This record gives sequence, structure tokens and C-alpha cells, in this order.
Amino acid sequence: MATPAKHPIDESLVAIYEEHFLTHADMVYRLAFALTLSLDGARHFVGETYKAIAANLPKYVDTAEGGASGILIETCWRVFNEHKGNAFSGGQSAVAKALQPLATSARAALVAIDVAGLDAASAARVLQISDKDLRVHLAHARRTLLSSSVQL
Amino acid sequence: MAFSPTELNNADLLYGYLDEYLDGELTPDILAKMESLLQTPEFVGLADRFQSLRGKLQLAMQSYYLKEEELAVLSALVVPQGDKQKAEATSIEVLSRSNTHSVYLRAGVLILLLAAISGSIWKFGRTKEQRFKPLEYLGYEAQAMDEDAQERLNLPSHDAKEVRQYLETYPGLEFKAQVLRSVPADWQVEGATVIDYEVAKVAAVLYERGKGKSKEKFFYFSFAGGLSDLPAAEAGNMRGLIYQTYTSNELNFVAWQPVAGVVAILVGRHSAPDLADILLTSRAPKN
Repeated sequence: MATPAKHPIDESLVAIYEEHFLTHADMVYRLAFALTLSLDGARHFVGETYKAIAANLPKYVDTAEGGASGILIETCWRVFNEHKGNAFSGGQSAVAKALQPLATSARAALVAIDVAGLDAASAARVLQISDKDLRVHLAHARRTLLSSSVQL
Repeated sequence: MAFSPTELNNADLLYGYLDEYLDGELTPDILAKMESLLQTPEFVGLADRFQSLRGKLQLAMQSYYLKEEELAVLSALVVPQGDKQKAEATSIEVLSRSNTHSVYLRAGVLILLLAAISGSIWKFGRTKEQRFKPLEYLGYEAQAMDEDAQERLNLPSHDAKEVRQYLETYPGLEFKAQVLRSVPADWQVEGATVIDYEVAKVAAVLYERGKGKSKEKFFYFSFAGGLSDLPAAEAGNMRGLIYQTYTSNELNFVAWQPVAGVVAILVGRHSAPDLADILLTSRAPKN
């Protein structure tokens, strides 16, 4: 993971960061892994996601409670799309093999809803796609996994 | 203009709304359409296969988690302002004295280095224990057992004595696995298993009542530890039974300490007081 840049901030913001955002770090790691299919890639984008969150904490004072997972997914998806040219060595796990045939937008929709538990409207909002596109991506992802020969 | 599900083709509508279908969150018009599609030969059994897939995906994803040192790096991304000022003041003080105290400074650095190495050894030595997250892991385990209990149980059995014997003689368990002494009349034991998370072993017993769609389940997990290992929660007290409760989207957790060094957690879709009542009725050993 990259060496972090530190943001000295008010203690109440530190509490928001620790209580609402850090508690979802594993979920972000799973999303980042689904997007990159790489442990190195997952670590990289978790680091980038949390750097972006830490740098903008005052923005999330009113929405962190109850909305942190959506904010994290939105941020992870954004930083991934900004830096997706980065190359990472791919994983060989069953999860990586099962997700590999899917486009990243389909993986993002799948993880946001079936793993992280967002509702469809929230998932569409944080992934910045239309409700219809979200359903199409989700349907494609589920259909592909259900017909996959890879055993999870 | 608002999106209408009818804009989707049949397959996209069906696959795209499977989660809401299973969770009972569809509006009557989409539900009717889904049910009609699910009866066509092409899609028969799809809802069950999706439910199983979703559980397996969630469980598989559980194996991806950050290590303590990686979490520490994320935590260090923010530092309170007061700490930073303190750090700067210390740093200025050290610099102002550096010319006259260089020998002491080097000794200090050496001591700090040794302390850091000792700290790392202590920290990494504890990492294994800290990785076990009972509520998260057992919530997923309960969901997986809920979906396919026979697949997850090492000992499917309706015989409480056999279940107790299985857990008592299970090799390598470093705690006294818990079995409810006598569940209410309409409940029966369905079997048991021991889950090995590498960092901890967990004994699990499944109880059920009812049949078909009205079937209800609860899970009784036990593992080595203390209630203080769980996140802080307000304690409940039901006729002398002291317990802590937690909740997830679908499940409630009632945690208590039946004997020293063992935590037991009852997990189910019932309310926490109902679960605590089952515990009491089952005359499990009291703390």
C-alpha cells in the first residue's frame, strides 16, 4: 500500500473517519479487488480511496452516518476510473476467474448490490449510471456467474 | 423521465430484479411479471440458484480482508490537529538542542528504534487474534447455513445427545462447545459443525421448527473468548440472563458468556428478546 499523506484535522472528523469510514475498509478492498482482479491493485485503490476520503472529510459530516458505504463505493469507483491505466498482476482465485469475463461496470454493480448490500437506486447514483443501465449490468453479471463453470 | 422496468427485455428484468424478488421488495406489477417469467421452463429454479450463488459470492468475498498493518496505514491518513502541533513542538525542541546533545539524541533514536521493533513483534504476535470478527463471520455463516444447511453441517442429526457428543469429542477444540440443554418443544436440533477460521474455531449448532416455507431456524455458535472481544453494546437482562445484542439487515444476535472463557451467540431472524427467551427456556447453563 502507498505511503499515506497525512491530513491534520479536527478530532470530531477523525472520529467520523474512524467510526464510519474505516469500518468499511474490507468492503472497499473487495470492490477494488473485483475491479482490478489483483491483490496489489486492490491495496492500491483502497489506499487511493481513503486518501480521497481523508482529504475531503468536512464534506461528509452530514452524510457519513448511514451513507459511508455509498460514499466509499462512489469514491473507489471514481479513483479506479481515473487511474485504470495502471497495470496490476492478475489473481488466480476462483473469484478472480469468475469475475474476469465481466466488464468493470458489471462487476461494480454486482459488488455494490450483491456483496455490499446497496439498494439499486443508491448503487446507480454512486456508480453514476442510469437505473436502466444498472439493471442491465447487474443482469449481465448474474447471468454470467450463474452460467460460469467456475465454482465459487 | 423516470425509468420503467418494462423498458428492459424479459431476461434483464428477471436477472436484474432477483434480489428484490427474494427479499420481498418488489411492487405488485413487477412481482407479477417476475413470477410469470419464473414459471417458464427456461427460468424454473432460477431464484433458488441465484440465492445460492449470492451466498457463495458473499462467502468467497469474505476471504478478502485487510491485515491489521494495512488498516493501520489507512488509519494514519488522518491525525488530530493537536497531535500534529505536539509533534511539531517536539521536533523543534529536539532540533534546537541537537548540536549540544547529539550523543543523547543518537541514544534516544536507538531506544526508539528498539521500542518500535518490540512494538512490531507485540503487534504482529496479536494479529491472528484480532482478525477474527465474530459478528461479521458468523452473520455470513448463518446466512450460508440458512440457504443450504445440509451442505454446511458436518453432522446432520436430530439427536441432541449425538450432537453434544460430537462437539465434546471434536479434536483440537480448546473450549467447551455449547449445546442448548433442552429447546422449546416445537424446535429440534438439525445438526452441528465446527468451523475452522484458522484464527479461531467455532462450534455451530442448527435448530429448526416448522416445515416448507414456514420453516424457521436459529443458530447457536460458541467459541473461545470473552464478551469484551465483541463490540461494546448495551447489556440486556432477562430474568437474570445478562446478554448483549447486535443486529444486521436480516439477523439478530444475542451474545452471552455461558462459562468463563467461552462466548455463545444465538443468531436468528427473531427479535433479540425472543432469542433471549429461547436461551432461557432452553435451560442453558447460566453465567
